[in-house]
Amino acid sequence: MFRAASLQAFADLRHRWVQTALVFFVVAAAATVLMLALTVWRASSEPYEQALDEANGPHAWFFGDRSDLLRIAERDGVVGAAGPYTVSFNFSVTVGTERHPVRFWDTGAELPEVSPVLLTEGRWLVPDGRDEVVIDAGFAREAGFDVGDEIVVADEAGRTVLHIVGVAANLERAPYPVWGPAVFHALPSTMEHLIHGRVNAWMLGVRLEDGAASERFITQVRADYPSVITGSWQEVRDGVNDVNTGNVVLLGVFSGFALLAVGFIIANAIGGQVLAQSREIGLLKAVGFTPGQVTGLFVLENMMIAVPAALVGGVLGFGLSPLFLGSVASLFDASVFPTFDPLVSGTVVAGVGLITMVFTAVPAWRAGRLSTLRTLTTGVMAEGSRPSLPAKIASRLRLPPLLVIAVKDAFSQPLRAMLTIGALTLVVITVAFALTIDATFVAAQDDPVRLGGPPFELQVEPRTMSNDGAEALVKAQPEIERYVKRAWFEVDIPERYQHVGTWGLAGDYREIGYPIHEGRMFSGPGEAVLGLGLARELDLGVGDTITFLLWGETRLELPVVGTYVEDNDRGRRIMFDLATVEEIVPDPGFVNFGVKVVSGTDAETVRQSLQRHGGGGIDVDNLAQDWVDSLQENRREIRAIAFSLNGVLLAVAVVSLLTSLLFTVRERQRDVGILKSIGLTPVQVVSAFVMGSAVFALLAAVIGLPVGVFLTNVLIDFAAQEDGLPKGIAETPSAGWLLLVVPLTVAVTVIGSALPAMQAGRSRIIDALRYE
Amino acid sequence: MTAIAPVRTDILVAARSRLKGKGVQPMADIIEARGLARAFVTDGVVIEAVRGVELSVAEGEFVAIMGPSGCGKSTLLHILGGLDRPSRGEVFLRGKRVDSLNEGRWARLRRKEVGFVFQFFNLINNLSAADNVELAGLLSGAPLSEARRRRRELFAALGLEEVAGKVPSRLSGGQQQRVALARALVNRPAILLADEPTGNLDSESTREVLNLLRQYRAEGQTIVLVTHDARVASAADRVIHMRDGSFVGETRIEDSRDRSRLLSSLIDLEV
Repeated sequence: MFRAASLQAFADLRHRWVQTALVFFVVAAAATVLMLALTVWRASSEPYEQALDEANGPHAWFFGDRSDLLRIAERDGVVGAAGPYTVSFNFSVTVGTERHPVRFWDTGAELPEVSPVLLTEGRWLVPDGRDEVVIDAGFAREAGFDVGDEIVVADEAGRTVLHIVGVAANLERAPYPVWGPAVFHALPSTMEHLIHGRVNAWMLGVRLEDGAASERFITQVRADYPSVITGSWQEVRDGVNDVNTGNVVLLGVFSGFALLAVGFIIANAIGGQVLAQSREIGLLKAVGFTPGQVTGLFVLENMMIAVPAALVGGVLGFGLSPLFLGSVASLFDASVFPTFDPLVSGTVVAGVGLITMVFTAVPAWRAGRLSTLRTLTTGVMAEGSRPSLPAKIASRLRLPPLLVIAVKDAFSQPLRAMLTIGALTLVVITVAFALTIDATFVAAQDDPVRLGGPPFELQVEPRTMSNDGAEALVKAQPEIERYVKRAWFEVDIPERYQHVGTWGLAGDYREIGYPIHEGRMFSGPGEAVLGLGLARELDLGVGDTITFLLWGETRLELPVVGTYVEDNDRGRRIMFDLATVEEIVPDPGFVNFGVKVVSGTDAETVRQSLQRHGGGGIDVDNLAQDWVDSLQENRREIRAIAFSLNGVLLAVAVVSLLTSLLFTVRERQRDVGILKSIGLTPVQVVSAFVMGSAVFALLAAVIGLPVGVFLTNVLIDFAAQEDGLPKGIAETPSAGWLLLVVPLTVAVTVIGSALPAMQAGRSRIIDALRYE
Repeated sequence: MTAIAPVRTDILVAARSRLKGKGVQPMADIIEARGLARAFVTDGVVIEAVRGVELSVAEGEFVAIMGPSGCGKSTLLHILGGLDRPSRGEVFLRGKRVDSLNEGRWARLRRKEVGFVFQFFNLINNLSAADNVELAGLLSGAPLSEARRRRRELFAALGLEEVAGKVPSRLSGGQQQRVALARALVNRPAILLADEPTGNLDSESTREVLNLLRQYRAEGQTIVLVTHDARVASAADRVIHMRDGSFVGETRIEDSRDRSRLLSSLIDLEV
């Protein structure tokens, strides 16, 4: 019986090759998008992890006193170390108008067994390679430098020309500019020349016996060495993943929609197939197919399309993944193609197969239950016992007879009409999705603070100037309205093996405009506000108490008086008045100043002025502009992806419409003949079918636009929560843009319906009437 | 195919003589076909369904074209109504040549000039009986009120008022054919073409439909009907006999005696 069913199935597929091809295309398209989403999600950090393995890289990083680092390197659990290396901050490279902050490591002429970097181009430093430098891979791509180029590095002492001999991916951080500053490697002799005996910090990387336990190891180290700043390979990996997080979310959403659209199309195709082949079904049953076997036959036929299509889509998706992964992969000199994962591929094929089976099952079951005698004698499904309601409504509305005919035919099979409208609605939803995201980006550019952007325009960071000197310089600038002094600490949350970035603030922190979400800003020492992300993670709110360990030993318990929106580190931040810890930390090491300029003043002009006045003693960054630039770049990338995926879904919807109409034309052949016999011209026949599709488009737009905007708001709220941002940041697109979707959708359906409509127009009356 | 006996032309001649004797002038021809032919090619084999047919139908005449299955009568009717194109020959409707019109122009012409009634009714299944008829009226350009008024008149005359809101599948065969008749007549066409209108009906419905056709004929409607049923053919004023795509004879019927005689002869012929 299986052989008989297979023979029948193959014959059907060959006979209906156009429909088969259409279904194959949409299933493959959906599988492609799904494979892309899963691959990018799984493999975003793969190049980094591969590089970490290849370089035998460190699992944990420490910055601090050299003697402390040497002792850390000897702790239990450490199987190898990179460093300690001197780390020198406060360098920069200017390319055009862009200033790139840089730090140097004196990594030496020989990379250790536990290497902090992976060389991707050129060569490493040689012992007599004075003025040689190996530069950061991300910086090289961002700033456009290659092996063999000369590069000018500036600091407060002046400018130095170095020769690029190699490019390396730094394993201690996500690629520049995702994480800055860029890291350059030079010999100790070169460093001496650069830093004139000044050493900013020492850093150490350790490889652990158990890499997964790096967080626990770090927390234990901090307990013993409270002043050491730490980082783990998982944090770096998450940072690398962040490069593609937006893409993954987008692809994931579109995958879901694509799979749904595929389901609608398959159900449409099966339903139509049942109607078109009802006589054949009757014959099958007459020769011995049971109802269950008829159902099985339909499922088999569609699985014969869906499984190969899913495989093709999987291969395509895998092949397209370098478009999303290539940028990160190239930085780590990894293959742009991720590792083939049978689990991911299996998930795609199984997912698509499941959708196919689910959406085949019901119409296939109905096919199996068709009365043998009726299908053999009439060959058509049971005629309705009531007049077409849509036609009645159209008639009551005194619409032109052509539109009445159009509506009647369009809704002649209500289920099919619903499925076609469903597929079109999905497209409209995803267009609304893309428009809403775009509008949200635009709104964020106008009001960065809303999305956790900096509440001040400039950041002044002392390099060689003292903190007090930098503060005095800031105070002296008439264009500066107010400023806040920020001291950075890393604290531990007890029993959670987590360390959290913390700002101790002094100055105009109440007036400068931090985006308080709930409660209020602290009014003095002894209170704290939490970033939204941290508050959600720890399930703390206004009125609760936050407990943390400063430098691993000093326990602080501060009442939470508010939560605020913080863009960095998914909102995992604590802020308090710096005076809270002035007895514990009289002279904080890492300090910068957030500066708000006088309203109406150009921030960039003030930045340049500050930089001039401070000479090389300070670094001044236009944080607000950087944030907006970063947002614009994200917007461009997401736009490109979103609208490309919209195009895919649009093609899928057009195919759905085409499939639906081809069936409708076939079924309505008799009606077309009748209408032509009473005076409908071929042009009117074409118009009627096209109008029917336009009605679908209008309904899809009316339903899809508000649903799309609503769903996008829900999705953005969800994503915002994950990123430690508040709900309600989504911006509704302008009415003009939304309304534009309507004629666009109608135009697309007109294009999709043209072919079957013309087929109907060309049909011979006499053939149609002989159909009986 | 059954062998067909020679045509009884004596009745035909007698009928024509009586016409001349009564001084009846032939009325203007509503439809005329000259040298009409239609050939189909199937797997390289040419089949001539209609061969060199000459036909004139005067205004107000009721003509039946009768012949066995496959003789080409339906094909001829389809050509006369523009549903099919002739391979050769000319067709004139109210003196105007129409065989070379394109499909669009034929469709516009059909709206007002030609009404069709088919064997299998050919009603739109998901429109009510009333909507099926009104649609034809609206297509011809009549405002809804006018189309509805005419539909109501026809339904009243045809006894269809009770079923106006029902879909065709809920109607009997006779009711469906009467709805089809109403649709064909709603625009008061120049000519009504009926293709085996009773072929799918029981005897009672057949009688109903034939009575209706006679009634409209009496009101001046020009009717061309094709049938293989002698009893149906006998309702007409003139019966044209067709065999193997050609006309082989014609019988004019003046009164009931002619009718009975014709009926007998036709039945004999069939036997």
